[in-house]
Formats: sequence, C-alpha cells, structure tokens
Amino acid sequence: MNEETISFPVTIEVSDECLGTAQCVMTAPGLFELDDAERSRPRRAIQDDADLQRARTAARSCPTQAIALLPNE
Amino acid sequence: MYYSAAVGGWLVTSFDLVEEVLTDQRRFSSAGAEIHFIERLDPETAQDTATLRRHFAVPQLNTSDPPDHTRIRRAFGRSFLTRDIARYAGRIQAAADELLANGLRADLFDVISSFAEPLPVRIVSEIIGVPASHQDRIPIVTMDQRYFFGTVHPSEVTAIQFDASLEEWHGLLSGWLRDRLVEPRDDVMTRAATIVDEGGLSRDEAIATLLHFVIAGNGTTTALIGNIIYALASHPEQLDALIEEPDLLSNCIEETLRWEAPLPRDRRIAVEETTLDGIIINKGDKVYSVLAAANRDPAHFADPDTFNIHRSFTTKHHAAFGRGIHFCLGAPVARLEAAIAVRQLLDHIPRLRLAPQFRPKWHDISTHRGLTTLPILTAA
Repeated sequence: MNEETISFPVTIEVSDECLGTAQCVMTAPGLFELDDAERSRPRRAIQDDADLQRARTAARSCPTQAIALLPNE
Repeated sequence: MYYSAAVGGWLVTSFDLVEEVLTDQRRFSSAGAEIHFIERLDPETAQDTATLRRHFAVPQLNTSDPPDHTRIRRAFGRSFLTRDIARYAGRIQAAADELLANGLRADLFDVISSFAEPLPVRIVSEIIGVPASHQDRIPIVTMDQRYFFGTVHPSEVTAIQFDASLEEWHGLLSGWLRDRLVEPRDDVMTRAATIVDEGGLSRDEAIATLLHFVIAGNGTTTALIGNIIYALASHPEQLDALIEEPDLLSNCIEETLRWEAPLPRDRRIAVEETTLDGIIINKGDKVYSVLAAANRDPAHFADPDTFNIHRSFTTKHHAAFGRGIHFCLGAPVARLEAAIAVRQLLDHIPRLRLAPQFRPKWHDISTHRGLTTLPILTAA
C-alpha cells in the first residue's frame, strides 16, 4: 500500500451519553476500549466492511445509544 | 436452539445466538413481552387483574425498546455507575456485619434467609429510597413477580396476588414520589421525581421503573450470594485457593455468575418474520435467550461445567448480566454487594461447611436460579 492510505468513509463518534457499560468493547473488542474514566473511545479507525458491520452492532448494542457512525466529509 | 411447546417459545442456548438475539432489538423486541404473557390468562382472571395489565403496558427499562428505552436508561444510568455506588460500601459492610453477628449465634446459619435475602433488600431500599417501614413488603412483591413470570401457567391465585401487590406498590411509590418533590433526598426516588417534574418521564413510567429496580435489585443478588457460598462450600479446593489468595474474589464472583446465572433466561418477542441459525422465526414468537446455557457453551468456554475461580474473563465475557441495550443496569451494585458479603462471611467462617445431610433444593422456576435454603455450620 502506498503512503496515502485511502481511509474508510465512516468515522466512529462516542457522545457524552456514554456510561461505560462496555457493550461496545464486548461486541467489537478491537474497535472500542474504555479509557481511564471508564468511557468508551474508538481504539482505531474503521478499515473495511467487516469493521463497519461490527461497529454497527456495537452502536446498536449501546444502552444509552451513545455511538454514532458518521460519514466522512 | 429449538422450539419448546411446553414453554411456548424458542429456547436459544448457544452463546453466539444468545448474543445475536440480545444485540438486535430491531428483530427481537422487549416491548410488550410481559403483555403477551398476561394475555394468556383466562378472561375472568384477566378482568380481576387490571393493575397488572396497566403496570406492564407502561414502558420501563426492561419492557421497552429505543427510543423509550434510551430515554429511561439515560435518565437513570448515572445513578448506578461503579464510581457512584462505591459510596454504599460502608453501609453494605455494616449491614452484613449486623446480620452475621445476629445469625452466627446459633449452630446452624441459613445463608439465604438470614443473610443473602435481607442484605440486598436493605441496600436496594437505601439506594432507591424505600423507607425502613416498608422493606418487609419487598420480598413479597419480588416473590409474586418471580412466580407469575417464572411458571408457564401461573395460577389464578398467583395472578391475583401479584395484582394486589402491584396495586399496593403503585400507591406507595406514588406517595413517595410526591414527598420527594417537597423534601428531596439523596436517592433514586428523588431523581425520578425530578425527571417526572421536568417532563422527561411520565409518572407511570417512573413508578414502573422504580418498582423494577426494587424487584430486580434484590432477588438476583440473593441468588448470587447464595450461589457463590454454595459453589465454594462444595468445591473445597476452590475455597482454599480463595482463602490463600483473597484477590481472586472478584474473579470468583464472575465465575459463579457464569456457572450459575441468577437470572437463567431473558425473553424477547420477534418483531417480524426472521431467521436465526437458519431457522424461520414467526412474527410474534417468544424467544427465550437461555443465559445459563450460553454460559456453559463448550464452543465459548473450555471445560464449561467445571467451577474454576481462576478462569479468565478478560477476553471472553459471560452472559449472566445479558448483552446489548438491556445489559444489567445494577451489575456494579450486585458485584459490590456480593464481594462485601462473601468477604465478611468468610472472615467469620473461613472453613465453610454445609449442614450434614444438606441436599440443594433450587427454586423450581425459570426466572430465578437460587437455593431455597443454605444451612452452614457456624462452629470453626
């Protein structure tokens, strides 16, 4: 792959509604992690369709619906 | 998975399928699941149980889907975070010590009735805001609900008794909610009253949700504490390992949650015709996720029938608290209570010994995996 990796056109965003129940970490462990304040954050960017599927399941599984998948500009 | 005519629904038993059901509320709904159950009552009993019907028609945490569920979960979620409930540790310890001091005077100590039942009742009362004068009503409504939903064909008596309990609690909670607006306190009841006042929640939703907290917040923890003590007492080598290395306690709690899940199953209703594991599920079918079976799925856990407090849960989680949007809100409270209760009990009686001739008798219902009694010897 050359230097300019084409990024996947969807970005994960976690809102202030996150309460750290870690359902995203359980459903998509590679994609999410809890920080020191027990809040979820993306561990890395979405790279392919398989990631996107797992991110969607994680977003759907969030008790407070704090995860949004936003199309990149 | 298979369809059980006796239960009247699908029983989903493998870990992956349980996870699939619980993380997809678009296909498997929690809304109206109880109403489906109530509708099976004969017409005469149905007429006599209007409160029951009204109570379960109102969305509360475990009988709703987004957006109702999201609104209610966001309203109460912050009251049950690990860091926020840590302040109850001292009171849990004091309550545990008092119960042990009273109970351990006799030669036999029933862990269930003298310890694992009263402790969570006191603590949930304090967190939610149920006054001491009414705490003895909590086990009654808890038992009523457990038997109503935990048996396939509840009797008319069970239904009418549960209906009467619900009516009593609606009256109590309604009054306490009014009181809190005048005299706010540091409890979940006050939070509920405030949200209702601000229009974020209807009064009926607040009442149904508070009662759900009270019920879900005691019996499950009773079962958990009893299951831990029983597992340790019947696995002396595991008990020795824990005494040797007290830091294993939190892992011991997780292993017990896996090995004997206090809530063995969770129910959903199929929103539309769908397939699960290649099998067609019809719209309106009841789908039971058997958490207890998923927790012993050999494809997910090695040696699943072995109770092993060294088992690692860092990458493979158990399903005892469910999965997805309905993941147990009170999980941090349950873990804290269980940790303190077991530590205090083992401090007093490190060598757990079951009463001679004790044979475990489990509650014979699908909504509760817990022992009816657990007598242990108090002499060291």
